[in-house]
Amino acid sequence: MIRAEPDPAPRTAAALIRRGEAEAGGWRFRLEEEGWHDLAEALRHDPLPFVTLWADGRDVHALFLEGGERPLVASVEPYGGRYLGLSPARPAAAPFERCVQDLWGFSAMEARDVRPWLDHGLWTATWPLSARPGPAAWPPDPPDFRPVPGECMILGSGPADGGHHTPAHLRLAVDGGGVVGQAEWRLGYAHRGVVARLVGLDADGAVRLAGRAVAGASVAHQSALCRAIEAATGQAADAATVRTRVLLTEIERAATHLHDLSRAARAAGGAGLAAECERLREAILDQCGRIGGHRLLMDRVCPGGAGEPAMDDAAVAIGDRVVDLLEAGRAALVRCRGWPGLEARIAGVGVLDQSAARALGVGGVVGRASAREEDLRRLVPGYRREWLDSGVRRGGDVAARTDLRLTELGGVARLLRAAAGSMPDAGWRQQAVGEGVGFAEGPRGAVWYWVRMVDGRVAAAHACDPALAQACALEHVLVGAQAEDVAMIVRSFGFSAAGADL
Amino acid sequence: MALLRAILARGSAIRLPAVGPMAVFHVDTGGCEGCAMEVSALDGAAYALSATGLRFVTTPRLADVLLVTGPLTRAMAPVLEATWHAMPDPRALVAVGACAIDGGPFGENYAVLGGLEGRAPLDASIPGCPPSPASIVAGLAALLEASGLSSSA
Repeated sequence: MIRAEPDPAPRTAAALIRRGEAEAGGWRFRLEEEGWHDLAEALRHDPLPFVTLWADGRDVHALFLEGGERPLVASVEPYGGRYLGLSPARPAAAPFERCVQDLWGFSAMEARDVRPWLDHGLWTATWPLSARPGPAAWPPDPPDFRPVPGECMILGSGPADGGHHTPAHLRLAVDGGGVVGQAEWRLGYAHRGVVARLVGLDADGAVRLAGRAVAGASVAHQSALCRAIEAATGQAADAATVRTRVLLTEIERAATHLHDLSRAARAAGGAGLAAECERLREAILDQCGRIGGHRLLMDRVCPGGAGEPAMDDAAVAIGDRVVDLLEAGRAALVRCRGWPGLEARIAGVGVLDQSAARALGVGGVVGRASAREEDLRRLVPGYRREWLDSGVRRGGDVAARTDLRLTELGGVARLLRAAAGSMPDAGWRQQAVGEGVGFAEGPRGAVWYWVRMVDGRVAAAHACDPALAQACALEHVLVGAQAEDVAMIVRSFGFSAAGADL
Repeated sequence: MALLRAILARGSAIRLPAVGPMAVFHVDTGGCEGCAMEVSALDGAAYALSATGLRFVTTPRLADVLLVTGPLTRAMAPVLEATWHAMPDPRALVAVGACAIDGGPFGENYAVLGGLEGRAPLDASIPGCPPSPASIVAGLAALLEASGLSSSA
């Protein structure tokens, strides 16, 4: 029997996705079940970068970044509530598959891990976002932790440990010498259902909510969702708005870097460095609070074409003052970093190697400190490539992350000055297809949004914060660390359970 | 949640210890971390907290005040309950930020109960989204004054 072969079998995963039926512009394709199986198989040898995976009630979508530049989405309709998991080929997909299972009830076949991730059995329903949520079982099942290596004692911390952070439980198996044999998170305490709440909101309301997804990356979440909504509705931001988003993102980067630096330094016993960071951060936030009263820059980014001219002028003025503050504070930060005891404490501790960072999809400061050239700013409108220095470090340890954050503070000052003195091109107007993908490089890594708009309201959405990948990387990094270094390592990642749980 | 109300409810007005700084135990019950970051700033070098007559403790057993930030998620409700039970009498409950007071942008849904208002008697609530460290100090200082401690610190 002769079968018609329309084209020779494509080899790359991207080409396999493109064989599907185009649904939203030229970037989302619907695959049949066989096509999805071929994709999962091709991903084993194709390095196509995986970004995130989510469901919308009907389909499961996987977002890739083709060539490190073009978002490409593959969609499949789960048959009987099941789809083939991508985590065997992309370990970074594992936590997303577990979230999809908890929220929508779509189970990933052949997945690396099928245990619940967000759902502790305390919600009002199982699979709360699916068309037919199930009843919640009472009493809830006890947590299903991985078996612990023998001869280890269990050391649990959180979710309420008096530290000023979002609730999360970290379970360590520690041997007699105080070395961590296994680390495992129990997350979900901070799950607020951001995705469920986005549905039904208009553009302004959705962006206001996104600004409260993760406080340390509020501007990044706001601007990523704005870009997704603008792509979906065929709007374009004008030049001043594009510049304001760049300025605010960089100011937020400075403030959050200082926050993460101070928390890691406190845990490392570097009280001097921590104190300098805290004072400098306070001075920056004080400036931010003078526009509109939100020190953490919430509600400062609006979706749609034109922003407010007053806001644009204020952003430039604050940017100027933040540059002055950063330059004035630089010497003290460098002096405190040079304290000899600190180096001995943080060098070589909590090493994330490059291959693990790549496999687990860790970007942002943590990825760059592990020699990954991951910076979405090169794709974000309003940035110029010459403003960004590829300041990667090779160490992957706490020292590398600390130094990289300090270096990036200098980068923020340079970038703020360059951006204030230039007028970027206005965003390009895309055809309205009803769906859009938006991204931003937040202080802790890439923030992604996908949104489907119907009649000016959000019909379906997905939010992705770098914290989820960091949680998986931390489980890997903490093995072999001294138990007393654990808090310092976790804080050096800038890990926030608010972003992991959403 | 009636269970929580029954457990957190208590009759007498607060009476804080007459000596030493007021010990505060902070629990974030799940939110965007904004309020937690502002409380963290308060605990840092930029604000001389001990001069205000406050200190943060890392166990509820030593705490006079339970400071709650974030909307109360269903997963955190039993944790908050256990924390409250671990505190010695007399004790005070303070909600910081819109979420902890009435849920703010994160009202009741499948995963979230909402704010503490109406669920537990609050000794102080400090509004804001998020409130600045200065207003958190002001709110806590009002609590100190109410217990007649303001000049002793």
